[in-house]
Amino acid sequence: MALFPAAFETERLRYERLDAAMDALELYEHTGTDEFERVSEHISKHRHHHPKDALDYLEESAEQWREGDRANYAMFPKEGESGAGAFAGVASLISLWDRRTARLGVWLLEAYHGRGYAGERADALISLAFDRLDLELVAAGHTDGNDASKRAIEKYVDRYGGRYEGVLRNWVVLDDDPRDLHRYTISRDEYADAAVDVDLHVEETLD
Amino acid sequence: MTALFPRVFETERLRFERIHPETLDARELYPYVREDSGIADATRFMTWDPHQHPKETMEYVQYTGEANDAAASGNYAVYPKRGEDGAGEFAGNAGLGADWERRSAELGIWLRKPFWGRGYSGERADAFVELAFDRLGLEVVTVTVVDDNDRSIRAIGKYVERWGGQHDGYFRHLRPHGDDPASLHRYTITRADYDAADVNVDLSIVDD
Repeated sequence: MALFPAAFETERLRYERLDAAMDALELYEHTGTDEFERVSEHISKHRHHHPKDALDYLEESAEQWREGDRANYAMFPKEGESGAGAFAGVASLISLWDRRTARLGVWLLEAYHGRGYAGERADALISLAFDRLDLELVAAGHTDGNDASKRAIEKYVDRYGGRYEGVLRNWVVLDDDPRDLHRYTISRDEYADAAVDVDLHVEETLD
Repeated sequence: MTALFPRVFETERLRFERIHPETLDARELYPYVREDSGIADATRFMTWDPHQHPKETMEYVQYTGEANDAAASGNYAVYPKRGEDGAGEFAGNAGLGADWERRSAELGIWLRKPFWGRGYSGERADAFVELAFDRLGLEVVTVTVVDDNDRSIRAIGKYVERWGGQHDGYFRHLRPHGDDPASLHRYTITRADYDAADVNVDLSIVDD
């Protein structure tokens, strides 16, 4: 069994290992756009300038997967959702083993904003982090001014009894510019006490 | 040639000499950091353990010297000046780690027990804050401390307040610490805090 499941599903979304689900040209259609520039404004990811950027990203993604350091999943809305089967964005679990911490990250194309997908995805990754990867802490963060992320994170962190810890000044470097990061965490104990009912179905391999 | 980090500087009561194989003999340092030197009082809360043998000390001096050559950090042996009790004796280590990409300076210090309670930590901090902003052009000075290190928390709270800085939070598992993650309080002084503060710093560069 690999550290990360190749695919999983939640109530409304299907997630597949990114480098297996997409090729560079497919990904580039979504990451080489003005829309992606807006979507990635507050995160440490850049618009891809040509398909080779997308290829490099997928190869890095595959490498990190093999090393067990990071799992990137392509997200697809399930049947019954508007845009079912289309690529909606990327969900990431970054395992910081020496800190026994899973860091979560996500970006969604604009058509999929406002549906609560980020929270649904968080539930699944939090459950994987504690129950499958045996980590002790889940951490998430947003930069100053990223109000959409702030609201989404506050909501699920609150659901698990986690906490806002404070601001890490000059922590994330975006375009050579160090930015402040607001950090939130959920501990294993908080997770256990919250006993949130998570809808998660794991597939070990991709057909 | 002027190095980014001064080789030697002084404050009112202390002299700071760069830890580097060119200027510090590991054999001189070893008696103060070895297992039975009593240094465990200080290292309890630190990211290192007392040294088992002089080779460990030699490697430490080499490693520290290399980080200094690479302009990544300045670490200094601290000596009380004339007039102080224990003048000229090795009192501890004070450093500034530069994270250039984040334009941040992280301060660190440990002192041997006989030199505790004299306010040396605050005197040293003022000098490093001045170096970080004025000489190195950094934007933030940071310091982190574990939750049960009460002495350090008191000392840090005092000088951070003096500079108008802040306690930014208590961050769980923020860093690896040996085999285990460490949860840390993090304090910062920003350039705006520094500019607005009215602190008189006694700092003289003896050897650039």
